[in-house]
Amino acid sequence: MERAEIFEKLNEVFRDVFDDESITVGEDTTAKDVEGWDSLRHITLLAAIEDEFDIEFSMGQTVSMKNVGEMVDFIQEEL
Amino acid sequence: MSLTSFYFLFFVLCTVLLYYVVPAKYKWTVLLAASVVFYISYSVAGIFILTATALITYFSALRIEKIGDGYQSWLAENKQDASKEERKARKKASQSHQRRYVALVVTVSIGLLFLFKYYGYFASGINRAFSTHLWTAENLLLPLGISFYSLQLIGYVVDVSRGLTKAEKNPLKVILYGSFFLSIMQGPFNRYNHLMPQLCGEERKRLSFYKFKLAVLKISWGYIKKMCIADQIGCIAREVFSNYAKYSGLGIALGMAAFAVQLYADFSGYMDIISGIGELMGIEMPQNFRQPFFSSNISEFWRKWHITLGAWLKDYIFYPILKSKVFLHMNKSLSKTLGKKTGERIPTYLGMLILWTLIGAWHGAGFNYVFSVGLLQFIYIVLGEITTPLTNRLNNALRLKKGSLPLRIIQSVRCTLLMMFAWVFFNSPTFTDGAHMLGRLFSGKPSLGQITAVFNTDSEVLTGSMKAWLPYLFLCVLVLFVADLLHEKGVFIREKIEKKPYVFRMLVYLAIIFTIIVFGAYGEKVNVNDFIYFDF
Amino acid sequence: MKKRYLQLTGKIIAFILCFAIVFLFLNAVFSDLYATRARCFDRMEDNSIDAIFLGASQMFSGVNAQKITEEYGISSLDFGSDMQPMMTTCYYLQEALKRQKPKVVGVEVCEIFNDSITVERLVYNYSAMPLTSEKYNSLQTVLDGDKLRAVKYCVPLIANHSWWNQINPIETLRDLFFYNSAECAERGFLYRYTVEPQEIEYLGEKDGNIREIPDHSKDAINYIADLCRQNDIKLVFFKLPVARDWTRNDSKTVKEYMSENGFTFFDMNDNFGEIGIDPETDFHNGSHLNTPGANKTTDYFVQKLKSLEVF
Repeated sequence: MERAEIFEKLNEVFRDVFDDESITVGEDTTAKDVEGWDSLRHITLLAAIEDEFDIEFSMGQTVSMKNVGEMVDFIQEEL
Repeated sequence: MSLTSFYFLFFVLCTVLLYYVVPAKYKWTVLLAASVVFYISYSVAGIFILTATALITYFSALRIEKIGDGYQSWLAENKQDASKEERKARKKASQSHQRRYVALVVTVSIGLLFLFKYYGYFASGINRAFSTHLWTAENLLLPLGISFYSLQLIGYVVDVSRGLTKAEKNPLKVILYGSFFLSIMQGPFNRYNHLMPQLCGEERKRLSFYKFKLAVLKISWGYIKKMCIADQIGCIAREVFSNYAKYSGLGIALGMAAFAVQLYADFSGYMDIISGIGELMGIEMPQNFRQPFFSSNISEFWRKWHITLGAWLKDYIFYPILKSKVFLHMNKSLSKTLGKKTGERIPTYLGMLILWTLIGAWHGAGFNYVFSVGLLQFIYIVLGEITTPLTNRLNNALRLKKGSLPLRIIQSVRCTLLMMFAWVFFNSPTFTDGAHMLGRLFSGKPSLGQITAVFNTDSEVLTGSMKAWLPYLFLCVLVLFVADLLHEKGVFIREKIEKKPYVFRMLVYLAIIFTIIVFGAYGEKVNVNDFIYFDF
Repeated sequence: MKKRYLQLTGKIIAFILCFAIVFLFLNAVFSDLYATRARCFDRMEDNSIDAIFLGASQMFSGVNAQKITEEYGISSLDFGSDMQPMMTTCYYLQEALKRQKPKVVGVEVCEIFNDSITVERLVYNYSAMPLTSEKYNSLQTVLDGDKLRAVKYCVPLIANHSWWNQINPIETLRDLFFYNSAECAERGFLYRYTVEPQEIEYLGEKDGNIREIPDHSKDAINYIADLCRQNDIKLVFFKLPVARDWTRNDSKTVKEYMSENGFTFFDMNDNFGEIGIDPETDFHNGSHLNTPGANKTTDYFVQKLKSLEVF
């Protein structure tokens, strides 16, 4: 899957999880940029992304991803 | 070797000198030797327990990496041929094999931790409740730093299993990681790939005079916080907490405030000393405090207080729990029945409940610990979240804009008061003592007499009148506040001092030296009415 | 290059100088902290004292040196500090003899049985005394040879710093910079007018436990006696009237020891009636006379010394 396509799908997931239609994520988006994305919601968010792409993030990836760009890298790896 | 003894200063001096004399490739051996010496100065038996735990960790990490490498090489060979299911199955098998070694390390570490720290408490409880005569491990001394190195070593082995760090080939380096003298006593919790490259890296290290001065300033500031603030104000806290039945109302409040000052100054002062010594050797220790009392809610407070503990628990307990099959399943099924928001909240809160219970229990064996810095914090956070719409309406009604200074002040004060309340239980010998002490907070009419009572005959703080102690307490709070405020605004205080002309710097240095000499809690304390020899 | 070295040396010298000034100032503040009677000694003219009385707080509460000087014409001085053990009394005598040539030395023996050293004793006894080699040696003796602690107590700033919360800044500044050398008319005597009725243990039913005079005290007594002999001083040991902590057995033990060794000693607890002490009005507390009681005692004391041909 192309990166742009992944980002499109991610936008949908983010908007759904955080209940905010205005969210758009990019390479450098981090938790600070999205309201409600704290450590408590991180797992919920990743679970939703895993469902969407039918993949599974490892714990290593879960704790080490620094921004959405890295997240997309991991998604591409798992696909 | 107490941090406030001349032996320790001498030890640090020798270690730093040796560190710069020895060639880069072997500098880590100096740190290992220093860590062993430091540990042995407290307990000889303990070093064997630590070494054993570290070696088990070392072997397990190597095995885990080998298993992982096995899977990777199979994957490289068979990526084209194998189906997705087969890849998944292989991956699962490899992971589960690795998990057995992780479980080994966890069992050994936590088992030993439980034995030395918690078993006695439970055994005594059972004996009392059922009139049994279980061995209560009374003679077992708690090995130095076991609460820290156990978790740190577990973190290392889990990181290897997650592929975040390579397994260490040299067992001595794993022992160094477990015993490193700068974090063995009170933390901070390190991560293997943040600490070890600094300790074992082979770049040349050079200490400029400027960096040396900055480090010494930080170390001095740490000592001032510890000796002049924490240990002195601690007398007031100790007096009120040990004899709360004698005091009431404002007297109790004074004790609570004093303890908050003591705890913060002691812990953060210790961190400053440790990281200052690290700076002398070009080692960056993780930060444990980030102006916690300016937080707007309890969640934020715990992201700024004892930061490395929270971070460790998040990465190694909280996330694994939430990501477990059980919890994800719970999330899904509850979301179906109760709606997405609630369905997600319940497993999160359940995970948080487990997390906070563990945080509380980690602090000590006793319900007062589990409650004060565990369950109560959980209650604070959940109540805070539940009442958010209510507080938002209140803030709007009072015209308090979000992020405005008045609101932030109110939030910060509220946060401080909530923590002071919780710390009453933390500092009391038992939960009931804490409850009684808080009960006395509300007894009697507020009067100056309640405060004067603390400074009377028979009181530990007698050597001194209220006229000296209260201004001193106020001064300590002011100093801590100003330092934190400057840090919050991003001011690098030490750098600013070093940039000023020599006269200013000389005054600062003299002030530091004489503050420690006059106000430092060292030597023998003279107690006028007690005639008792009291050693600090 | 030369300029840089000069600058550096200048900086170092400036630092050391400022450090020394602040250190000496703070040291003076902390040695002034506990106002002992001993400060009076500083303000006396050299070679002007004929009779020095040594001992602990009982002594300077019970022997009115001002009265003796003014009414009896014998220039006297009370020179002691609270809870002063006999070993420290030796040291006070050494210091006294540096500047005075008394004809008579009287030593009150209330602390003869008590040679335990507490931090409070060390602070009371040594803080206000100047730094001399005798001070260091005395501290070493008192601290059983612990050189490090002895050095610490030689430096009041280090020894007393935990009393930072007891400092009265106004009094301290006045004492350091504005003291009037004409003061100290009271000659080391402590005027006290509080009254606490007492029951006299010495006159009670029990003889009391038998206590032994510790070796430290015996050594001290011998040393004092030697010093007085060398300087041609008439030496007298005495015990002031007290309400408690002094029993008939105590008195007996001391009398025996003193007579065995040829020292002059008298116990004024045998003479309550003659002195005219009223236990209801003449005591400040169980161990100390108040000033009315002291004045009566002083009169008797002077008569006694005259009858012994000491005065």
